[in-house]
Amino acid sequence: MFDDDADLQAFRLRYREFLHEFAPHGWRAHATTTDATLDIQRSWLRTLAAHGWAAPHWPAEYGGMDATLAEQIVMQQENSRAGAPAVTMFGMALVHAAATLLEFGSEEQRRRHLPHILQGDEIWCQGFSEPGAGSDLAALSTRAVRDGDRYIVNGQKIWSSGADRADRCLLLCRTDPDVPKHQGITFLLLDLRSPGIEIRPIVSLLGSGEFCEVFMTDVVVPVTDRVGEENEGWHICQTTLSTERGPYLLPVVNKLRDECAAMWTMAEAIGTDHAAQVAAGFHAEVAILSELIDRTLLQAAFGKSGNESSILKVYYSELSQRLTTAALEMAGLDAQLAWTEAFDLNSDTFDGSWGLSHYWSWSWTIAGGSNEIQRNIIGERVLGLPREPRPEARRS
Amino acid sequence: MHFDFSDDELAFRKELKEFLDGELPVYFEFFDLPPEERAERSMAFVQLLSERGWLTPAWPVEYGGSAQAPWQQMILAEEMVAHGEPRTGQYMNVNWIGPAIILAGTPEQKAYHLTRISKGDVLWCQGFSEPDAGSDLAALRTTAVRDGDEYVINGEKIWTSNAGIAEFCFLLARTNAEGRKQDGISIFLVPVATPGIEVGDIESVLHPGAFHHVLFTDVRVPASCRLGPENEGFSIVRTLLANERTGVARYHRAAGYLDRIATWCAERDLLDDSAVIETLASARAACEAARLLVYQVYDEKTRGLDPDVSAWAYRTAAVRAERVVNEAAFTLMGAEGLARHSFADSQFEWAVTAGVAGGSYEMQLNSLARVLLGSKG
Amino acid sequence: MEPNDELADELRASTRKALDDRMPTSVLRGVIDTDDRFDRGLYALAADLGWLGLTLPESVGGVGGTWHELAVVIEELGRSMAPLPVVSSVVLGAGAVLLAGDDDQQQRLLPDLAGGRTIATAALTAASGRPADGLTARLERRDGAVVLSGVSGFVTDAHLATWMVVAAVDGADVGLVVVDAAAPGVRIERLDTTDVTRRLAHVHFDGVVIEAVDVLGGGDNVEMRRELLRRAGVAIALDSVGGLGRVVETTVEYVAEREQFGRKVGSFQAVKHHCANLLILSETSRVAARAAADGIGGARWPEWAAVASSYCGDAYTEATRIAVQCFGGVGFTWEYDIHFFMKRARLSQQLFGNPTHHRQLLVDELRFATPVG
Repeated sequence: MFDDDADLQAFRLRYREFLHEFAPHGWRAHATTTDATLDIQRSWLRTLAAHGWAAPHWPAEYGGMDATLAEQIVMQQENSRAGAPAVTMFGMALVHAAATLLEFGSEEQRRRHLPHILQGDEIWCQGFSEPGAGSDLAALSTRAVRDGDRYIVNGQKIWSSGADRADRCLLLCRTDPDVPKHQGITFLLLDLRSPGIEIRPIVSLLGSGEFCEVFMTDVVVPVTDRVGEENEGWHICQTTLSTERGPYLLPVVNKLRDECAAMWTMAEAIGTDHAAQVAAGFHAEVAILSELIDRTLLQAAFGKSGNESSILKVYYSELSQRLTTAALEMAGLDAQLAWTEAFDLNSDTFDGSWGLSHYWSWSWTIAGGSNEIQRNIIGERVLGLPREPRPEARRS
Repeated sequence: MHFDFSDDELAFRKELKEFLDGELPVYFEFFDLPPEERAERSMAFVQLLSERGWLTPAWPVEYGGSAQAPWQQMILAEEMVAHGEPRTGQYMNVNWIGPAIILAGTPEQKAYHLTRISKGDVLWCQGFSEPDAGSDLAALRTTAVRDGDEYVINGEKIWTSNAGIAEFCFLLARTNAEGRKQDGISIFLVPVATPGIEVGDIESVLHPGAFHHVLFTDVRVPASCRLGPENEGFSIVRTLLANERTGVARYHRAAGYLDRIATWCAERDLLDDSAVIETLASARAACEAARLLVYQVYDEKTRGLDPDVSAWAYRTAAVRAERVVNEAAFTLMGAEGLARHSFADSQFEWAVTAGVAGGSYEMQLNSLARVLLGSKG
Repeated sequence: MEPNDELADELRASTRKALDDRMPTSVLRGVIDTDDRFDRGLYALAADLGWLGLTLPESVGGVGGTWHELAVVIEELGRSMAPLPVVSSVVLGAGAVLLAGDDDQQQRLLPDLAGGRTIATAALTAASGRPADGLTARLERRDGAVVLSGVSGFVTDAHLATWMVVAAVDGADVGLVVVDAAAPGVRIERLDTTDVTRRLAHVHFDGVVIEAVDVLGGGDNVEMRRELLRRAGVAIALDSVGGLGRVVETTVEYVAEREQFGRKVGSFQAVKHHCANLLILSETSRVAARAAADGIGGARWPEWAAVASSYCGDAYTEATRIAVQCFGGVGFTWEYDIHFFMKRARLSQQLFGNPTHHRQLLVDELRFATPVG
């Protein structure tokens, strides 16, 4: 419920004009394969960059705009309004990699990567989770052994979204196995073209390969590609992870809103009070979610402590699950037909397949720290409840 | 597993129903009576049951039972609860205090207690929970110290239903403070009138006299009051509770109550509202799910199988059924359901204890998970 | 919505302090044992602190504030469960006269109300208390006089009221009239509800003669009644938000202290997740109710009123259910306070329309207005 002040309104109009002139039309019809979608997004990112709009949240000296949160939100709103492509495949680069480098990277690392990221020349992925380190991320066992001015890396990463098309990877490795598990982790920037790397897509329940496994055998990473000091990776990766909150949630709300509208249409067709009331109930909750996000963003902007991102995450992910469950019930057998091939899971609009939305909603309750972990965080860090007694800190 | 009752079973249900309909007013709630009157009326009523062999039908014939099949007991449980549970606290005597004495009692204990229980002329209470031993029952601290031919008991029990009107208490007390806490507990069959026992009310959100606390101060009981070997009380209780996990047929009570809500809605022409029908139907589904699970338990018992998983699943389903019906009452009846002593209010009293008393819902889920996961959990 | 809301923060702090001092649950327990369930001294203090005149214009002795401030006071009242007829007087009684009364009526009725010298309420529903049911009070013309008969159900604080605004069938229209609670033919039947922190009544009217000066409205009375019910619903939502905050706090306090199996029960994940769910219910309710309160009169006001009323009613009852579960056995002793919240939540969920009713109102809004999104 932001009311634009005059400056913000001017900003909004300026961006709206830009979109009006440059945003592509009819691109959805061409986004029939992942590669085609990638081309559309890359081309749009370059257009944005050429006009200075590509990375509003970055400092101006690296090609950003030092945009306020309110301005970023305005841009998201205008993107939705104009139906512009979202540059989701570059999200890990523009958001996570950039946030990490801007806070902990060396000047040389920033100069090396940020311009390429801005131009859509570098796609990044994340190499955090492992088969034995999911919810318990700090139990990761990929080893990086120092050898002069380089590290030799061996191990396996999993759930790395888009690794098969990525150029670089934000990598967490164990560099000291003899200290408590959180203290022996180092943050590296891995060039995915290095010898010794094998990438295999994992076929997800959607039948497509959103996630990949990354196998590393004696992979060489120069010490100059280390972020921060050795064994300080755990602290650094918290920044990478925390950037998932913020304005980047707005497309999620847009999609839920879109789904609500679709559900409303179905409910009206069904024609019972009950169906309409169910749809209205979800409409109410999406409105509340949107309000909650605005407020969380405001708090972040005004330096009041958040820790609310966990509340947000649990609420929106489960709302999405409940909503799509109810929609599948309303939609009947029609919604059981397989979806068409092309889909963009990160789209901010509903693509017409309740099945797709429903099954994908589990990625929200599991990925990025499962909702069980989020509830622990809420209990322990927000409410101050005692921690679960843990077995002696072990390293795997 | 089959879903039909035999002709004999149907006949039994019919006979029982006719008897209960004749003896009790419609929608009579024993638990709405003041405690003394409740005890008096209940006592008179269970003697009628006893005369007909319906009080302890499952017990062996030698102890005053008629060794009836599990299904008969289940029919009995449903019909009793549908008629306001006229046995009040006695179902506890019958369903597991008696069986505990059958399992572990001395010949003298059996002769005295089982005769009285099967005749229905005695009321028991159960001295288990303590202020710091609720879900963690084995943490109980009430002590029983051997002194010659006697034990001296000190401590405090809470949530003791019927303590104000009961004659005996089935008491768990610590006889050994060393070693594992589960291994130092014994059972005592204690007359509540013994000097040093003090019973007080816990003022609760339920009807007055629903719960008590019981203080034991240097209470001396003869060693012959102990049930089973010293320090083996916990495992005796566990064995019995494992056999008797179905408890009161609360789902059946909830289902009957739901019928009354449906009637209430019909009287107000609400049954053509799709939202009302949805609410009633899903509540009914929850009741029937619980019923089918308990039937599965009885089926497995009848066939000599271990009903471990179904029994725990049933208990969680029964809690859910009561909660969903309670929710339906509030949703449908609105503010009228909030008037004190309305029938929504009396259902609320039942539902609010569901999933807390007699092992919390969370503990039930833990137990179910333990059975499912075995050593892997 | 201001991120740094110092005025509201100050008001909240002073309101909370006054209620903590004057109406801790130890005192509340005494007050609810009396037939009136009312603390006259605290009500005088409420007038002195300006709670009653917050949203009234200065011309009638108010301070001309907004619902943004009133929301703070209502939340704090919900938190303390203080049995004060603030919502009845300010939102219902004064609200009705401000909406539907002329200057003379406002000048006659509101200064005393703002000063705490009179108490008011509104009787807006049928005997069933359901807003959607046809009204069971009616106005008739007899020998040139307007006469009120019938019954209004589940009226809040009627037993304390000096006057009340009654919605009654008036031919094909709805009439809104001011009724002196002491007038001949008015009978107040106090109700015994499971929630003991409030007092409701059925108000019976037996040929009550209404003076011409006491007839309100004349415009779209149906919409005015609807608007009053909307505001009442949002007031209840705000009350629930206050209660939710306290439920979270007391539950977390309890599970962080209570030990079983040699551990604080709050360290068990099952219990911790209950607490996390409590916080989520509390936070989502808070944004809903505050967005509604801040949006009163705005373009999306009817929509937000329905959102807040439907969501908060469900959330509060669900939260108290979880909280009692976390307290375990002591949760249903009279000694602990949590059951007061549970029953208050139950009544709040039904007062001025239950969540289903509010979702239906939202359906009507969505149908009437632009499509969702």
